[in-house]
Parts: sequence; C-alpha cells; structure tokens
Amino acid sequence: MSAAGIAPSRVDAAAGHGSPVVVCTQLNKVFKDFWMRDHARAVTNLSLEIQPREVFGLLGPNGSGKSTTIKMILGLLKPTSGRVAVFGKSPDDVEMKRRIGYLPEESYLYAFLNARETLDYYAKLFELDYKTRQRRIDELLDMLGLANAQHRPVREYSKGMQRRIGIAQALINDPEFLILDEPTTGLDPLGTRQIKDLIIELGRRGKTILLSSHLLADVEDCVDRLVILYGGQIRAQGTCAELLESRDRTTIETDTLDDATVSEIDRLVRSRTGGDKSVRRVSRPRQSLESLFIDIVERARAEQVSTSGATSGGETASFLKGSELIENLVKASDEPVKAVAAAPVEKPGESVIDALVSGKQTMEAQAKQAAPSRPAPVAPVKQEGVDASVIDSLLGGGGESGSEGTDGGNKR
Amino acid sequence: MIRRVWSKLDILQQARMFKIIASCVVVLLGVAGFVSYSIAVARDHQAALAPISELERERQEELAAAAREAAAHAHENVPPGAPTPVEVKPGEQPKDAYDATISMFRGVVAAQHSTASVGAGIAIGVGLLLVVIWLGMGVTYLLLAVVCGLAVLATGLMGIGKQTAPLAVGVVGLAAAFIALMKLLGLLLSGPGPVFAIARTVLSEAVRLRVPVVFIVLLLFGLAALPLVLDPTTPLRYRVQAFMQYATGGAFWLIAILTLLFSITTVAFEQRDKQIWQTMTKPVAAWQYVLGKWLGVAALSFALLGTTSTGVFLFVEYLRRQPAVGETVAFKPTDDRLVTEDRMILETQVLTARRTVQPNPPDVDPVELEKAIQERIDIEFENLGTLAEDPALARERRVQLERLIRDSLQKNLSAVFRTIDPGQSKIFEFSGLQEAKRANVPVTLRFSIQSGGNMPDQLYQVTLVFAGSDIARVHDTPLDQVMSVQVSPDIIDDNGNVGLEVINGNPYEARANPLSITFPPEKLELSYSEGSFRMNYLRVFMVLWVKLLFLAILAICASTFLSFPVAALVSFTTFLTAEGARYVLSSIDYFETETMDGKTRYFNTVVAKFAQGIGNVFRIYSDLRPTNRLVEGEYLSWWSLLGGTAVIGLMGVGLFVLATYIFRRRELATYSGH
Repeated sequence: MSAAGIAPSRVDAAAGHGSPVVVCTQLNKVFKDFWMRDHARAVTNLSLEIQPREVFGLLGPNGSGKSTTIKMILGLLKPTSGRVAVFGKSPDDVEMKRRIGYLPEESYLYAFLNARETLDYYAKLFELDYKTRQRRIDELLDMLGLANAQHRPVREYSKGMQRRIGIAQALINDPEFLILDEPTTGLDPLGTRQIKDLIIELGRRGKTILLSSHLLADVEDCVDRLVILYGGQIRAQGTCAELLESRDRTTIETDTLDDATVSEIDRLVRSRTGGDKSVRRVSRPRQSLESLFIDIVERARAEQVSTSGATSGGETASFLKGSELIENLVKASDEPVKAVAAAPVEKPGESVIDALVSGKQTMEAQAKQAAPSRPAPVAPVKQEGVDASVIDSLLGGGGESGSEGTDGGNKR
Repeated sequence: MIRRVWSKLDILQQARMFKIIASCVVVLLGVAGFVSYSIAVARDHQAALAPISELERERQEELAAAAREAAAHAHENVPPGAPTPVEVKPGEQPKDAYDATISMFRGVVAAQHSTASVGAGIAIGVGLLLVVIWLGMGVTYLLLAVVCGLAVLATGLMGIGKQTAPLAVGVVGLAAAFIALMKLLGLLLSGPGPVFAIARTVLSEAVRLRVPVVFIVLLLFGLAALPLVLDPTTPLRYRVQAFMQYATGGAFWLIAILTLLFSITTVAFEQRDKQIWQTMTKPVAAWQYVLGKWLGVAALSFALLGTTSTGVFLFVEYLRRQPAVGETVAFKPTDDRLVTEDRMILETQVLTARRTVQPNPPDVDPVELEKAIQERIDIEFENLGTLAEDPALARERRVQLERLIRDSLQKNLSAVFRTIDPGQSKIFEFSGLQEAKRANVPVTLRFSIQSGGNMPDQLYQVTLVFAGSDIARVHDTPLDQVMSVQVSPDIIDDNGNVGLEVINGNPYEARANPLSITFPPEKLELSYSEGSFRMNYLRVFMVLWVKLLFLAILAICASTFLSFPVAALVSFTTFLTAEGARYVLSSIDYFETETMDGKTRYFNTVVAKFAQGIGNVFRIYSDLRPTNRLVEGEYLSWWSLLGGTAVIGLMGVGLFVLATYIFRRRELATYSGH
C-alpha cells in the first residue's frame, strides 16, 4: 500500500460518502490562571475536517497545540471559543464515544492491575459481554506480544510494554475513529515499525485515524493527509504527496553503475537540456538504521535468545480486521501470508476477505516482506519539463518498464 | 513439591463436582447439628429451667416475709397510708425490683436456648461455608482451620502462648472472613458496564495499594488484640461495655478515616495521574463514574464493617458466656441467688434494647412566664435609673435587657426543673410507657445526681416514691454515678404515665442532704426492654454503614474538584462536625454572643450562627449515636434507622448530584493539583 497511491483515492472516496468524522471550526483555547487571566494561548482559530476512512496527521513540535486539539475533540478540554463536532455530535456525548478509541501521549494505566485486568476493565466500559471481552483481550495481547506478561502488574512493565497496553485499550472496542497521540513514544524500532504497520492496516480496513506526532517519519509513513501546527495555528495542510513532492528534482534508481556510465548519463542529460541540467549527485543507497536494527533483532530471535520484555507481536487481532463472525468461520485457513500492506487499493468490505485467509504472520515475515509490503508502486508522476523517453532509453527499455524504482512520494 | 500439591488442591477446590459434594456435606452437617440440638440440648434446657422455678417460688416467699417485717417495723415517722421506706445500699436492688426482673431474666435465658435462634445461627454458619466453597476456597479455608486448631491445641498442651494463640487465631479468622467477603463482593461487581467496572477496580485498588492494606491490617489486629487488654477482674458488664465501646467505636472511626482517605485518593489521584482520561473518553457518563467510585468504596466499607462487626458480635456472645461477678460458671451464682447483680444488669440493661423515656418538660404557663420576664426587666431597668432621661437610649436598653433575660430564663428553666433543694421534693412525670405496660416488662429507672464539687466519697440519700407504689426507696447515692433501679410495670397507669417523686434526703429520718442536687440532662430516665440485643446490633451496624456511605460520597464529591490535601481537609472537617453536631448544638447555649452590658459580639455571633447552621444540618446524623446506644443497651428503632437513613441519604443524593454536575463541567485535562 502506498500512502501516496492510496491516500488520494481513499480521501476522494471519503469526500463523497458521509459527513466528516471530525469538524473543528474556528477553535480557540486559552488557558487561564487562578485569577482567570489569560495564561497561555494553546490553539488559535483552528479549523479542520477529518473525513471517514482517512488517516489524518497532526504534526508539530512540542507545545504546538496538537494534544490540546485532540483533548478538545475528546471533550477533555472545552474550547474557549469555536466548535467541535465528532460524528456530528458534541464531544461530551457519551454514546458517541462508543465509536472512538483513544491513546493518550502516555499510557496512563492503573499500576495495580495486570495487563489482562486492564483490558478487561476498559472492555467493560464498552459493555462488551464476557466472551467477546475474553476473545478480544486474547487477540490483542497476542497481537502486541504481551501474552506472556499478561499476569504481571502493569507497574512492572517497561515503558514500551505500557505503551502496547495503551494501544490495546484504544483498540478494545474496535473503534471506527482512532485517536493516537504520539503512539510510538517509548517503543523500540521494532515496536514502532509494528505500530506503523498496524496504523496502515487499520487505515486500509476503513478506520478513521487521527495521528498526532512530532516524529516526522511516523506521520509520513502512515497518513493520507496532514496539517502542520506551530504556535497553535495551522501552518500547512494537504496530502503527503502535495506537501512533500519536490518538483525540481528527478531520482533514478538502478543497479550499481560504473563511473563511465554515470558520466555518459550526465553528458546525455546536458546535451538534451542544452547544458541547463546535469546529474547533481551520485550515491549508493544506505540501509536505514531501522532496517538494520530489525534485522539484528530478528536474527537474535531466530537464535532463541530469551527476553523478559514484550515479545514480537502476532498478527492483527481478527476483530480489527472486520467481521468477527466470518473470521471465526474461516479461522482454520492457513494460507501463506500475503503482503497485507502491499495489497492494492480496495474497498473496506473486500479487504476483510484477505484478512480472513491470512495465517500467522510473524515479525520475521513482516520484516522480510518490508520491501514488498510497502506502498504498491505507482506510475511516476509525469512532471513538466521532463522528457520520459530519455529515461526510458537510459534504462534500455520501453516506457512500460519505466515505472520501477520511482520515489513514489518518498514513502518509506 | 509443596507447590505441586497446592496446585492440585487448588484445582480440586475449583472443580464443580467438589463444590457440589462439599456443599452437600456442609448442609447435611448443619441439619444433623440442628436436629441433635433440638432433641438433646433442648431437653436439658427444660430440665435446667425447673430449678429456677423452684427458686422463684422460694424468692416470692422471702419477699412476702420481708414486706411483712418492713410493715411491722415501719419507722415511726411514717404517717398512716404513706409508703413503707426501704433502704437501698449502692449496688443493691430493692426486693420488689428483684422480683420484677425475674421474668425478664428468664426470657433472656430461654431466648438463648431457643431452637429458633440456634437454628438461625446454624443457618448463617452453613450459608457462610457455602459461600466459601463456591468461591473456590473450600480446601484453603479447611486447611487454615486445621492449622489454627492444631496451633491452639499445641499451645494448650504446652501451656505456652495462651495469650498470643487466640490473637493469632482471631487475626487469621478475621482476615479469612474479610478475604472471602471481598471475593464475594468482587464477584457481585463483575458484571459488564461502566458502574460495575469502576466499582470493581476500586475494590482491586483497595486490596493492592498499601495505605488501605495498612488500615485493614491495623483493624484486624486491633480487634483481635482488644479482648486481651480487658481486665478479667472487673464486672462482666463493664468488660462487655468496654469491649463494645472500643471495638465498635474504634472500628467505626478507623473505617471512617479509611473511607474518607481512600475515597479522596481514588478520585483525586486518578485525576492527578491522568488515568481518568482513558476512562472518561470511553462511553462513561459523569454520573456513572461517580456512582461506580461510590459503589466500590461502599463495598469496601461493607466488607470491613461486616467483618469487624461480626467479630465484635461473636466476641460479645463469647464474653456473655463467661462467669460474671459472683458466678463460678456463666449463669450459675455461687450462692443460692437466682441471678447475680452483675449478670442481671448485663442481661437487662446492656445486652438488650431498651426504650428510654425522659421526664416531661416543665409545664410553664406562658402568661406567668411573660409576667416574670417583665417583672425582672422592670427591676433591672429601675436599677439603671439615669437612663430614663434619654428616651431613645432607654428604649434600646430595655430591648437588650429583655433579650438577655428571656435567653437567660430559657436556659435556666430546664436546669431549675432538674434541681431539688435540700429536704425538698419534686415530682417528675413520664409518658409514653403504654408498650411496657402492655408487655408487662419491668421498667428501669436510671439516674445520676450532681451536687457541689461532686466529691467521690460522699453519699447522698435520695428518696424515690413512684405514684401508686406502697414502697419508698431510700437510696444511698454516690455523686455523679449512674444508678439503676428495677421497677415493676405496675407503676405505669393505664395511659402509660408514671409519676415519680424525688426527695433530696430521707424524710423518714428527717435527714436532708447538705446541698441541692441536680440531675444532668438525660441522666434521669425510665427505660424498658423493647427488643433483642441481636436485632439492635443489626440496626446499629446498618446505621454505621449508612454513615460510612455518606462519608464516601462526601469525600468523592470533594475530590471531584479539589486536590488531595484540600479535599481531605474539607472531608475530615465535615466528618468531625457531623459527629460532634450534638455537642456543638448543646454548647452554643453557653457561647456568649453579647458582652455583659448587652453589646453584640459580632464575631462570636457569626461563629454561633454558622455553628448552629452546621449543627442543624447534621443533627439527625449526630443524634443516631449508634455506638452509644449499643453500649448503653438503648433501643434503636427501625423508624429511627429509616428516618436517619432517609435524611442522610437525601444529603448523600445532594452530594452525588453536585459531584456529577461538577464532574460534567470540569476540564479533566487541566488538573492543577500537583
């Protein structure tokens, strides 16, 4: 799945179906001191809409108003002025909250409960029956790699493990609208990767997600559309493609080339552009630290090195994939794992069937499939001033094969 | 090895088949025990009662002879037709009073051996065992009981640790009961939905956090250790009263403090530590959150109060079966008396439920009162003299004087009513004793006198003559000590009224006491048995629990908008005010709001008005006096319980509504309590 590829279509689809999940109109939030004097202005004239089935990013440095905005959406804070509507209702509407899952910037858990009791508590708040609670808790603990530590008090958990429980509680009700405030805080790269994959998959399954972060890579990997906040005001907004596309560069990725070939390409570029353009930089792509880390950990796991922390997560909880009933009926199916994230753009209803037939997907498999699971390649965007035929000829192929290796909006 | 065995035992006690079989065994044992008792023990009881009847006949004959002798040797000062004087020393009863209480005492003895009460006891025991079995703790508790039994046996055989063994067994027993009760409550609160979920989490929090556990351990140890500090040489009635006072009162205060602290902690810290964000962003209404928290604290306080109250009750019953002063074994006097004084007072005044009647207030003619006030004003006004030259000043002064004199008279009226000068007498009327007359139960007169400096070694002679009685009791009465007199219900007239003439001295010997005597407020009363101690205890337990429920919602309400220290300050102040409202209201009468020359003390006036307002708010709460009633054997009626519950409940509902309103309005994400 490519956010660059999928996002516009999903957003477009959403635009035509139903009302926005969140509408903020001219929101202002001023914190006052004891004497009711203005103490701090957190949000100023903020207006935004989040469409159904959209992964929406809220980006900004610390203190930019991200969390304040989220808390106003949740009813934890009341706007000084302006209006917030979630699913067309006031944030104080209790019934509306059945459709929401929320992960705060830190997992504020009851230290005296264990993981299982914690999830049971939150499940009860949604009035889930006993069997549903137990099934979902089992699946979430398995998905987040906490099954082995489920009877330990939460106070004994590492920050990352607490974060995972926080994520589990946000998903316990299979929410339509998921609000994640800094979801990867405290997680190791492996956990971060898993959470990002989870967000992408949930987005693909039709969930609406509001993702707040100051970690740019987190947001970039997952969101369809985003706003950038600074000083409580929106500074930029749009899709990732719109905001990130660099229109004065072209990147070509090939197998390793010798210097002569590069020079030849440079000459060609110069001759075709009358000397105005040239090859500016030639480098060998480096493996990212994240990929390296994941490889090392996966190798260690393959060698069965023990750990007292969270284990690698399992597959996505079946209740989050779609119809639990159908899921249960076909659970026995054990087909090879499909690259979930690599699935083409599809309607939410169709994606359920894929999930139904997917078997156990280990982290190792996810890591190996990292490349193919990335956003499906899309045709390069033809840009003005670039003659595609030159590139085709350089690669020694026709225009058909020219789609390989484009940046695709810099996804991952 | 041990772990493996234990694991297997645990699996066994969780198994349904084990539970069914164990339940059948327990029920069968219960039935067998009851049948055995009904056949064997009840027959013995009939035999045991026979000698009492014999003794009773002998006593009747003695009383008749004594009455004849008294009449023959009546003091020469006694005019014809006047009551015969009977001298009563401290700690004694006049012979007719002794006679009057025999039937009541027999009732007490019979009730203790009745198959109905034994059956109820067995049924409760079987019920508790079934709960333990079905909670999956049958084997655990059986092993615990065996270990405790062996420990007691060992200490008994070796003759060591006789003091500590009962303490250890008491602690283990109370802890086991508490754990079982908590598990049961946890099970009852395990349903889905926000209210139950929050309540259940509160219970888990109470068990797993340190502060509540410290309180719980303190309570269980304190209760188990208390019997060890009772002086076995003191009369049994005092031991029982002391135990009930310290155990019930102490347990209530400890649980009340825990309830307040824990209620504040569970709400205030949850906001400070932000767990509430995750709860209140779920479909949880403000009222559900407040109700859930309250329900959790209510369940905790029920478990604590239930455990301690059961422990207190069982130990009181154990104490009751210890020998009283003058007995070798319980209920068996060493001499030929039917019953000892210690036992008599214990059974008829302490371990009972007496309804008390205060003397009717003085019948004051309002016209005469007004006339007296005006006369006093005129006298005082004339003494001021020169003020008459300034009419405005004179008018103002007269108004001030009138207020002062009126207040003073009102305050002093009841004191004057309860005071008798040397050699003088006063008649007190009591009403509302129809029920005692109808049930034909003996009446107890309790009184205490104060005089001068209340020297402890001084004895005053006080003569009591009941209207319609042919006996005048001349009591040698120590000052400031409560005296009890048993009286036949024959003194009650058909309208339920009793007249009592009290003489400050002994008119038969023309002896007057040196100073006036005064009955302090509520220290001159008639009482009669209205119900059983057990039911009274149950009602006292319920009142205490109602108070705890109120304290819980009070603390929760305070902590919805205040930080921990401020909420604690507000809650504890309110708690102490509520408990002391009775004292506060009685003290206001003596609180000066004006100077000697009639000028208003504004600060004192504000304080008095505020204290009066607060005192009135908590008057019902304070007037219930459950522990005092229990210790004094005072009857706490169902109506008092219901009325008190209704008023306290109404206040609680008000606090609940307030807490919900505040919670809805609050911005939970801007807590400033750090």
